[in-house]
Amino acid sequence: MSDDELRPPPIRPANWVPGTEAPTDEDIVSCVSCGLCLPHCPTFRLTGRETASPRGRIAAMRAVAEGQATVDATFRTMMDECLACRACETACPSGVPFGRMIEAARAQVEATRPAAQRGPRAVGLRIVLPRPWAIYAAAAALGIAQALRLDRLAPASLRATTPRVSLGRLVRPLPRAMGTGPTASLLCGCVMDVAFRDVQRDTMHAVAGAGYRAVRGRSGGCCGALAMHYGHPDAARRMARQRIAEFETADVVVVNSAGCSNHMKDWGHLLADDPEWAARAEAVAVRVRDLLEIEVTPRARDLGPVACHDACHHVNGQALGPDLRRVVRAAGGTPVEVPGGGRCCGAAGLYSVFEPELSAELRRQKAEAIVATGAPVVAVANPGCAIQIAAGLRELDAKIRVIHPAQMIR
Amino acid sequence: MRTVITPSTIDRFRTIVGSERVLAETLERLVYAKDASMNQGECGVAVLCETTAEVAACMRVAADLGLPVVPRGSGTSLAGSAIPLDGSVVISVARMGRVLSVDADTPCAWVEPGVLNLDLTAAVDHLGLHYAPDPSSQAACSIGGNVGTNAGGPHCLASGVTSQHILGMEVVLPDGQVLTIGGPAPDPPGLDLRGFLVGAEGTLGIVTKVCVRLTRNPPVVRTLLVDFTSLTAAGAAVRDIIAKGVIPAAMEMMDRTMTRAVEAFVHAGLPLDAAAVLLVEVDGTAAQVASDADVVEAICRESGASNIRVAVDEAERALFWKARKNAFGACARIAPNYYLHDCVVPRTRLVEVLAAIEEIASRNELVIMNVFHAGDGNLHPLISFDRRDDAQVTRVLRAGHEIIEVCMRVGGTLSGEHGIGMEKRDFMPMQFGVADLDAQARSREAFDPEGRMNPRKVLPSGSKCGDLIFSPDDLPEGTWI
Amino acid sequence: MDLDPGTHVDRVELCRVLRAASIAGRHVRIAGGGSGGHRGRRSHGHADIVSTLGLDRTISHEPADLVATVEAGVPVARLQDELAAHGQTWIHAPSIPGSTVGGLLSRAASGHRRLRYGALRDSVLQIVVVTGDGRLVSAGGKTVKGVAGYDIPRLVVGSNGALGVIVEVTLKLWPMPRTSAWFTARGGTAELADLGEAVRRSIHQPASILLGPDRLDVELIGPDADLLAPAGMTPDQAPPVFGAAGLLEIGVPAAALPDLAVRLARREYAFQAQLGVGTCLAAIDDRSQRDEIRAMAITAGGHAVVVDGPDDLRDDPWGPPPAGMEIMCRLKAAFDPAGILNRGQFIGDPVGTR
Repeated sequence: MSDDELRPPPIRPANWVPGTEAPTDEDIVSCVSCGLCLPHCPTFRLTGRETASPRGRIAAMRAVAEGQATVDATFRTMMDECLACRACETACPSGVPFGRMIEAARAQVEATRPAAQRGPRAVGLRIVLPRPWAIYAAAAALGIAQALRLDRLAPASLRATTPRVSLGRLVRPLPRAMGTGPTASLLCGCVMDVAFRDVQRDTMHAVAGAGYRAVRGRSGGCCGALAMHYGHPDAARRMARQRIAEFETADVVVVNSAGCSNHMKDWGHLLADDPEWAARAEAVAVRVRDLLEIEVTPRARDLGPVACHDACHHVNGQALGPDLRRVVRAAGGTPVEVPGGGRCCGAAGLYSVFEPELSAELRRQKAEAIVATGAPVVAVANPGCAIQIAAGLRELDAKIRVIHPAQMIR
Repeated sequence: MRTVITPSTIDRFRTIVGSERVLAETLERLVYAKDASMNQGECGVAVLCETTAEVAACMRVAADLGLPVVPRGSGTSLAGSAIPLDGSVVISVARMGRVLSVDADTPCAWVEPGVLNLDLTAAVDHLGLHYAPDPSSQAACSIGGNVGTNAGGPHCLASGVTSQHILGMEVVLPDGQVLTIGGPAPDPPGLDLRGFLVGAEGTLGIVTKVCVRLTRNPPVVRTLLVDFTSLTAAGAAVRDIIAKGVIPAAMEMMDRTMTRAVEAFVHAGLPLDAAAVLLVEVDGTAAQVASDADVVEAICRESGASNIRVAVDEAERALFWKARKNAFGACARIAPNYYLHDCVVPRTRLVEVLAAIEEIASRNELVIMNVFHAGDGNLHPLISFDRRDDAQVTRVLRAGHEIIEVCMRVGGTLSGEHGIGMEKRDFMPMQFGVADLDAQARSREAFDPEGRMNPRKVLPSGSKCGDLIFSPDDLPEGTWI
Repeated sequence: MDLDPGTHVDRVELCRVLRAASIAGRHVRIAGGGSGGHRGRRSHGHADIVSTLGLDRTISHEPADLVATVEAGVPVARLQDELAAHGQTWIHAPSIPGSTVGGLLSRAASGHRRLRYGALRDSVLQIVVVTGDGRLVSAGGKTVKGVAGYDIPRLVVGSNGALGVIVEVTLKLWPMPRTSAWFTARGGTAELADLGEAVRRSIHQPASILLGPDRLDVELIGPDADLLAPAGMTPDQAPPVFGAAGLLEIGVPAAALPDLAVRLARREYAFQAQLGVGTCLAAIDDRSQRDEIRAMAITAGGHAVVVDGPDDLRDDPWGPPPAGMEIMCRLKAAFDPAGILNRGQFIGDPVGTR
């Protein structure tokens, strides 16, 4: 018997960049490499590359953790290509926590990224997002550029998925509070607040209608999800602390963006090692409610068929798929499933900016699937998805309205 | 001997498929050095092909340079069949994922090898058809891989394994020649090369198109989940159901440890206290189903079943099957690694073999879980371990050997459906004599005279005897004369 | 070594005989029950005959495991009787008077229930052969499922003895159907073909749908409730076994068979088509008929092989060579390097050998 060949290769010291977060050994060994995640991974389905699959990405993490490889350019590409949609997590029978592994792997990636590439990312994630004034300045600059049609200078792929900022709406603030009942503080956030001010207002109406005193949170107060997804956990923690302090007095914190609600529910874990904040973080995290979790009063009306787009961070991690349909039904719509519903639309935070080609292909597939439903409206409960899908439908010249559930139930 | 892939070799592959689809970086090669088994090999370069022409061109380059080649579908092999050894070239067909044509009347379909098993069934569902072999990994595994391993699955009990559902294929031989073997017309003249190619684990060529038989969906299906208070009782029920002349569509068993691990994922309300759970499915006409289900229920009760739950609707049935089919994947909940065996034993010996495996587990201080195709005696003892523990790895390998010995002793077979790959290769002499292995090696050579396809897989080294002189004294041990 | 025609040998003797014949280059013809008709290319010249009839033991039958291991010379009828005593059957096998287990396997003669249960080769779990040069080779396993090693059983089954002499097989059995029934309809071929296809679509797993020029016969297996006459058919006995002096076995995609049957009928050929399977036996008298039918089969995406008939029909038994001839020849050489076995019955055998 040549048992030697069946023996696993020796484990050498890890090659992680010291002083930076890294996927833990315990998380890495929770993957048995069965491959059941593969068909659920949009980038694997698109490329057929094992290196663009969850199993492959974990194998790469394992290779670094066991000293067989280093955090090099290939590792960076593999992690950058991930949408972090976490569809693999939902599919995994062993419950591998892929979401937090990819976040940690990306912290490693950022620590080793050449300065020229690191600069622009860091400016956005570490300087702009934590600062409300900077978000507004950036949004205003974008709005002015769009008004002057200077945005045509940008590449088409980037332009397609850049939100349109209305300067008029930007200067019209949200009401401070509406309704009566337990206090429901609304996360104003980043993109939602500057690009979807109307949805914010509708969300407040909807929450107030559900029996809360809806209070607007601090404008421009980012939850830190994007920083976390893109390898800046320290910046994410900074933003989390600011928001936690802001929300501690609220009975519930309502969030109308899937990526944010999913991230905020995990604040306890994010700050678990911070003795001063751990308990406070957990206390706020358990009070976070996605808008889809709010009990809305059913309306007696018929809105006709409404295609339901599931945001990845609603179905993977929060299991809110059924809730979207419940809300659509309550609003008077008839939920229609989108073929290949579980598949990411390719928005995935800043994916459309960083990985335009893969993103564009996923956008096209998603838009075609939505068109195939024949529904005149598609409900989308996440700003990134909304921008991406609207762009995709525009590219197909499809006259389908993209609507946030808040706009249906307000 | 280790293969060296030079930059100029990589350039030749790039010329064929473009640089994006040639993966040659250290980390990329490490990722392609693994499949779903516990093993790791060494990949020289991975090339992702999209067409038969590309595969043929890559094979010609490999032939030209004398490079070993390993085909890869989804990489879900449980025996290391898809693992490249010694720096082989991996040719992936994962991007060849089109259903080319469906003939709903025959019924059959031509598909590319990268089509996933479950996607194929989904693609023909509207015609009331399905592709019968349903390995547990069917959501992830490819038809090409299924052909390579002669894959099985729960429903192969009544409908037979992959080779009974493959009508033909297009194959690229090691020299780059493209052949179309068989097709929808039955029994083509000459030797059954089609049948021989199925299950050859990529050692004969690369399959680039497959003609699959499709099966009509049964009008009625009934799925029963039966709890037993002992593995022995469940094993006896299986034996008696078969002996009674009922061949269910599927008959699967899962022990307590496995049931608990997978219940944590599926939340199907599986009985966590039962020592064994039997999942039995009967299908056919309403009358057939009623009569078969009656027999199954009666025998289960006689054997001491503590509870019988019948799936009330398609959703519940799907949940039962989700539990069964996700079992292997769920075992990281017990320990990080698994060493999985795939022996088949006579159904009459099931009970004693299960007891022997339990004994092997306790003697070696290991957790061995059982989730398997009880109906055809195809065991899947899964040894759960942590590879970071060297001493444990030694015990794991020993226990694996002991399990195989037990199965062979009762007249068993090394593999029921996963194949031999690298993991079971050196056990082959336990099932086959010198002349048997020699005949297999010679047959393999008929396709691959240079021995460049998936080398060092399936057959142990030295299988081919240079000079096999006949003498009655040389007859394989145990041969009945 | 000179052998009496029809010498009964055990497997050790067989190894010696074939080894000696291989070295001496003496041709050997394998004989079983003699029910197989005349196959392959006509061959002239002397060949020693080895009979498998001495290999007639049932080695084991494990009723509870639905598996039996038998020697190749066991008469199929005897085996079926033995199995029937335990309520079991080798369901894949046709009942051909005088046939042996090895004989059926060597020509892959599937039974009339192939539509439901599959081809004969699907029932073979393990096979033991003596190769042309006298090696005793076992392949496959005795369990109902097994993928260990290369599928040599599938190569041997249907090889017409080209690779070796089958001496032993392990077969997968089925419970004897408790109740079954035949139904028939008479009329024009086109209407009957439509009726047969309708049965195939509307009835779950019919055992057999046999179409002739003027009759359609359907066998159903299952509980009594399922044995109702299909629309347009009436209960009847099993149809007579189809046979003729010159027999052509056609294989086309199942979807193409009804049309082919109609065309055969229009040309007034006698035939029996297995709807749903894609096979069809046709009676032929001369080469022009053979070639005409073969052309039809090829147009329909299939082939036609002469499986019985006088020498003149067998100057071209297989038609255009299939893909992979080179590999087939290498396989033949791997098993029968001297090319002594059943000369003329292997598709790659040189034409016009002595």
